[in-house]
Amino acid sequence: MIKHICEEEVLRYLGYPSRKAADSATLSLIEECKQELVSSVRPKTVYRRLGITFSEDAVCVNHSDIHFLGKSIYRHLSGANECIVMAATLGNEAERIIQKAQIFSAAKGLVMDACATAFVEAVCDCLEKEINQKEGICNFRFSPGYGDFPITQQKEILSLLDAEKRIGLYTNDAHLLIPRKSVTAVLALGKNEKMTENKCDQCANKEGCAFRNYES
Amino acid sequence: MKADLLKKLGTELLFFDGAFGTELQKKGLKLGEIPETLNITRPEVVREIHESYRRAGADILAANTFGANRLKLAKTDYSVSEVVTSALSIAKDVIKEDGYVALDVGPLGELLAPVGTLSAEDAYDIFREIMVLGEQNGADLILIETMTDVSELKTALLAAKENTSLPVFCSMSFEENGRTFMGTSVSAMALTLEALCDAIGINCSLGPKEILPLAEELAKYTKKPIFVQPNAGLPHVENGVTCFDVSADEFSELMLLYQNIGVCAFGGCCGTTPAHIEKIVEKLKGLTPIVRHPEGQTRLCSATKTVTVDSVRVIGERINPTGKKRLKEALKDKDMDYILRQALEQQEAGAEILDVNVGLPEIDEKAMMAEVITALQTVTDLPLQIDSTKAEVIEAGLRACSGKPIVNSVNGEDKVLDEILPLVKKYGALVLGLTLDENGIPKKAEDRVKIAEKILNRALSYGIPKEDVLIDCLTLTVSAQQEDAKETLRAVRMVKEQLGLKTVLGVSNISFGLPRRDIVNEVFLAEALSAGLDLPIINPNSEGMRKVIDAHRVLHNIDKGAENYIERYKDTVAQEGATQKTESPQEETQEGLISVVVRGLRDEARAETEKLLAKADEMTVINNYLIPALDMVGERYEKGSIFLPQLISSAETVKVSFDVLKERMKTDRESISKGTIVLATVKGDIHDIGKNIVKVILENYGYRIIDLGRDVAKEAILEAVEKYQAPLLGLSALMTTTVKSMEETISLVKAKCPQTKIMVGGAVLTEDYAKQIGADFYAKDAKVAAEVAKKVFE
Repeated sequence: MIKHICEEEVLRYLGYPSRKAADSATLSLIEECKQELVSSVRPKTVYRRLGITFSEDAVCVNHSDIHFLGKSIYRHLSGANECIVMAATLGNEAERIIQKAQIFSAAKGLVMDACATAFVEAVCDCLEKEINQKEGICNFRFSPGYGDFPITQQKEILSLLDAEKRIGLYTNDAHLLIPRKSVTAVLALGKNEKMTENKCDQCANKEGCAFRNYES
Repeated sequence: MKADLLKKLGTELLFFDGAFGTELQKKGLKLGEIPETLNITRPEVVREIHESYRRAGADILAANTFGANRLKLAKTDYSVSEVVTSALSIAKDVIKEDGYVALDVGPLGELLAPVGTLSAEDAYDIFREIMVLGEQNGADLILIETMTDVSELKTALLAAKENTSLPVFCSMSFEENGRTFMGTSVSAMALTLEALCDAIGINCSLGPKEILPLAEELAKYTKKPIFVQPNAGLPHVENGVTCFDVSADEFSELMLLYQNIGVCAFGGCCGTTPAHIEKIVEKLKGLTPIVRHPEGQTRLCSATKTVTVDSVRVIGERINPTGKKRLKEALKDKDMDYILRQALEQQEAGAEILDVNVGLPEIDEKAMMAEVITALQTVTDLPLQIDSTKAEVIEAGLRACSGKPIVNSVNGEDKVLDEILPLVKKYGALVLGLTLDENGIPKKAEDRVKIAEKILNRALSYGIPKEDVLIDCLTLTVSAQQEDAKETLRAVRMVKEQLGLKTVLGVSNISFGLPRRDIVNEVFLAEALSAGLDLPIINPNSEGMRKVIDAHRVLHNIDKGAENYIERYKDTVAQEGATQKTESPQEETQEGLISVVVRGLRDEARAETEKLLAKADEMTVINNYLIPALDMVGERYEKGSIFLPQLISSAETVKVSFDVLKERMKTDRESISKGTIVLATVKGDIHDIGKNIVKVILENYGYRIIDLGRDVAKEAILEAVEKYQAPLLGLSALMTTTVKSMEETISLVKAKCPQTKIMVGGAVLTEDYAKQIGADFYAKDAKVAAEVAKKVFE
């Protein structure tokens, strides 16, 4: 399992333009938080390979009544006969660690939260590699909330994976994933296009976002 | 008339059915389709599955109601009542007279607050609806299964027991490490549910090989009948289909091993088929259940940690407002972070159980007890001791507690015993009895032991096991009643030897009114331990007390090979007398505090501030040191030479310094506060990092912050704004979906408190969006929030 959290990512979430900009206290705090997370969090993942067909305006998941809605997911999957639906979570222990950190210090809470975000991304990268090896080449992770892929479909995605039972991942009535440090995503199987542009450029919130990545 | 299920459970082996979901999938259940709707749309399919299990020999059929709750059925065309009624009617029709139908109840599909956002009250209500419908429609038992959160399971169990008279079987799903996804261990499940449920088990998630050691563990901790329903092995995917590999033969062979350890009801979960059940029945039918004799040990637990009182265990006393000004303030302001910090500090210092007392005349003690316990459970895994004399407060604590706590306390008065002991029995807690009654505290040890005996006998008569009764022989102040100290010690010894009960003592009472209380406290603790004290209630942060306990553990052969003792003390040196702090040169101090703030060295802030106060007054420290330091930090942040973590570290350092000044000034907080601001993350949202940053910064600017936490209902926000007459309210929401909840909060507060200004922040908000939902200000970050506050309060 993943034991590596990318420091560069953490620094970006915290607003540092580069490693050079960070002071030694922050760097050692990041190191401490990373250690705490990797030593006690056991990330969980699940994925499923599903056949898809296309109607005029939606992607239909075969053997189900679920349709992925919106132009962006349609474009993401178009041309593929199958997709991979995946989910990953750091679980409730990560939440507990972040809460505890916050109680002692807001600064540590902030850094821990950023480390956890980078951690779950790393877990997804690792799962994606596994999927590419076992199932074949896919394009890239596309999640509810990206573009016009409605975040309200979160629950349906979890139901396709039986994610509650398999990895303990839930949503609430506001469609937040709980535990918080979790990701769901859809990939097109057999499509070799990698993300051509910067992921942030596709986001509806790009103008106001403090964490936007300007590199491409 | 059917034979009594519970009687049967003790005398013969019983057989459940196998998987339902995976059988439905074979018959064409679509992906993501709600299986319970098939009771209405394709009842013949449901019936076929029941019939196949009945033919295989199952005594108990679980009706197709696993997800038949309001939340999961919301998107379907059917009500809970329609689904439950149809499901039970099909199953009952198949089972006829000589078997049983279970109302099957699974998790709600949303996590309970504070981990998720579903309130305990709503969850109870949803479960109650199902349970009542189940009984009305003729279920013979309730099977609550596949749970991973023991607090959800306890809520379901209470809903079943308080609204029906049906037997309730409970089981949870574990991973191979012996924990559920939410971290609950097998022992904690057993201890938490023991009093409330009729049978206890393990199902799903793992196969029969993997569950076996967990079932063995379970057998050690419960006196209740045990049942198991493993999967047919671990799931794996082949060509896109989930498969389970353990054959009916292998599965049933393994079930024999379960029978050996005393399991008395058997079934299967995901991947098992009628063939599996048929084989199990074939192999096991006719065998009789093994009678188990689990040892009765004094144990308590949280949802994730079990503590056995087999040697000295420290109860941390600090969450108790008596004589603690700062904690009183925190309780009044609902400053949960402060309270939780007390818990974590005690845990770090070695507390193994935490006493929780929130008794203050001006607050709603009942609501506060539930709230504090719920919050504590999110950050600490220590078992709790619910400390109150009021029955309603104790019950609120018992309901909120996901674990087996101690109730502190009862005494020898009949009225008290008969009021509190039924609660202890119902919820399966331990009880702490004080050796006093309506006539006060007896002088003689013998008389105290008599009261202890009375408490024990009354507890036994209520069905509370002996090992769950603890006795406090009461510490009296030695400076007032000098001859009584040795009576207390004698009583401890007698209660241990004559009654065989575990003992508790609040230790530090002994030294009131004496100088160097630590000396008396430590010696008294040492003597009490050698008299047999099991559970000292102390301040674990006191190093001296800690040393006594560490040494005791070595001397009594508890700390084997003195391993812990050596680890803790090998690099320390003995200190003679009270240590004098060494003075550092004055000129260093001047630069000192500014540099400490700029570098964010929180741990050094107190000492630096105190040093400065030796030669300057409070206002000088603020104006000449703290404000210039903050300005410097702010400037550097603006310029991009430092970043958010550093800004916050500096802010937190200033806060420590302010705390020192406040203590010195001895004035009311109100008089030095610039005004009150209420902060909250709105209902439905559990992101609070941003809100917490705003809080720290605003505190630095001298505002009093009432932090309501996250996932806060609009009504609670309005209540706080009204109560504190806050001129400014700050709301946070991270997601587009929760901005809606923010908008509703704004319109409610604007309608009721039009004079209160509202600022909002969160990742998806913009200036325009904020206006659109009715906010007065948009604060894109903490610095802007401070500017907004300045505008509002000037």
